[in-house]
Amino acid sequence: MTHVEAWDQIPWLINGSLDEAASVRLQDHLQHCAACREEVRMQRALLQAMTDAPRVEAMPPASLQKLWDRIDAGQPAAARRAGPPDMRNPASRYRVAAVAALGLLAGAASMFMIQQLGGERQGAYRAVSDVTGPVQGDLRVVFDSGMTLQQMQAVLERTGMQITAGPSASGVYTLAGEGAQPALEMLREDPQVRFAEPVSPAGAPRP
Amino acid sequence: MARASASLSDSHEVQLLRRIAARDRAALETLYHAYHRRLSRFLLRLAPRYDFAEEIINETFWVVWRKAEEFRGASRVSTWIMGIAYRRALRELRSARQAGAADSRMREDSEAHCDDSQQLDMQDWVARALRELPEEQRLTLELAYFMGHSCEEIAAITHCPVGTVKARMFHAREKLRRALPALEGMP
Repeated sequence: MTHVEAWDQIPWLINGSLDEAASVRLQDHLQHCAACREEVRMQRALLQAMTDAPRVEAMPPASLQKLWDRIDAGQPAAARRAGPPDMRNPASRYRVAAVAALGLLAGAASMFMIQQLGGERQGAYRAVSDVTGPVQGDLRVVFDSGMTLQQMQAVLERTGMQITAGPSASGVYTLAGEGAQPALEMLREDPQVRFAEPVSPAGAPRP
Repeated sequence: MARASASLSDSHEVQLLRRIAARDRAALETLYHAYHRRLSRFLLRLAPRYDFAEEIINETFWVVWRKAEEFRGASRVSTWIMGIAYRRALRELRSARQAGAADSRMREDSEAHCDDSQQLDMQDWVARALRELPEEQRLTLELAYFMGHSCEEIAAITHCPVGTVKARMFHAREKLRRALPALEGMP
């Protein structure tokens, strides 16, 4: 095996997909090539950093219902694209205004709940991509955009959780309370919960 | 590492596709649940927005519902489904990059927790460096290192020759090496 061939095969060696015969030839090359050994070490470090990152996942029940809605409506895919709504469309403007109003209402409710906590516990807000400063026992949750405040409160009461921060720009709430694990399981079963995960990376489920 | 193989066997997945072609809703739901977790984790790595992941997953299964009868078994079902999701994600990422929306949103998220340099660990550096790669190179790296696909599987998913996959990996590694000097100091 030439050096160039070996260099090309290093990623597939470290992700475990290289066949046995090629692995043997590459290992032989590595014994005599310090540069390739260093590349193996660096690529392993990169793979480790990528796979160690906290995982987040969306929740399927509400998403699946949206898919059925789309199928049943027979709408073309392009008609339901993600991304910024077209503000020239009055319906979009109305929808954005309604969501903003719900957000304000929910924000006011969360501020009220934070005050009610009396400073007992202040869960740090973390963006979905935030990987620093784990806070054990807290959850990050996204509720369905069509959920009413009463429905949200019912979920919080049922799970024994309280809002300590949020919603963020992405609609993420941070919840705190006793029994975070059973609460997480209940939230994941709830069709109006779009996303739920532990704040702690250590508690995040892996694929 | 998350391997590409589904919890369902290949033959089971083919059977499900046949039932989906016959408009069996339960079969679509079974396949949807089998793929939802791995697709959402993959997609949320590309953009930390649940609506982005949900849209692409549903777009993918919208195609599965409509095109199931056209599946001829030229590849594994998992490769076919990942290929649909890949092309949709690539389109969205390109569109977002052109608009500048996703980049600025992700930079805001990233910079919001990077004020304290002590907290800027290896994962932060890697996440930042990956975002700077061209979409095709980043997706190739994610498919290989995060999803665990082989070079040949990635070629099938991306509809590219194996040589193109190798070239994308080569260039991605070169760019990351320049962007990630910290990797050199790792044991």
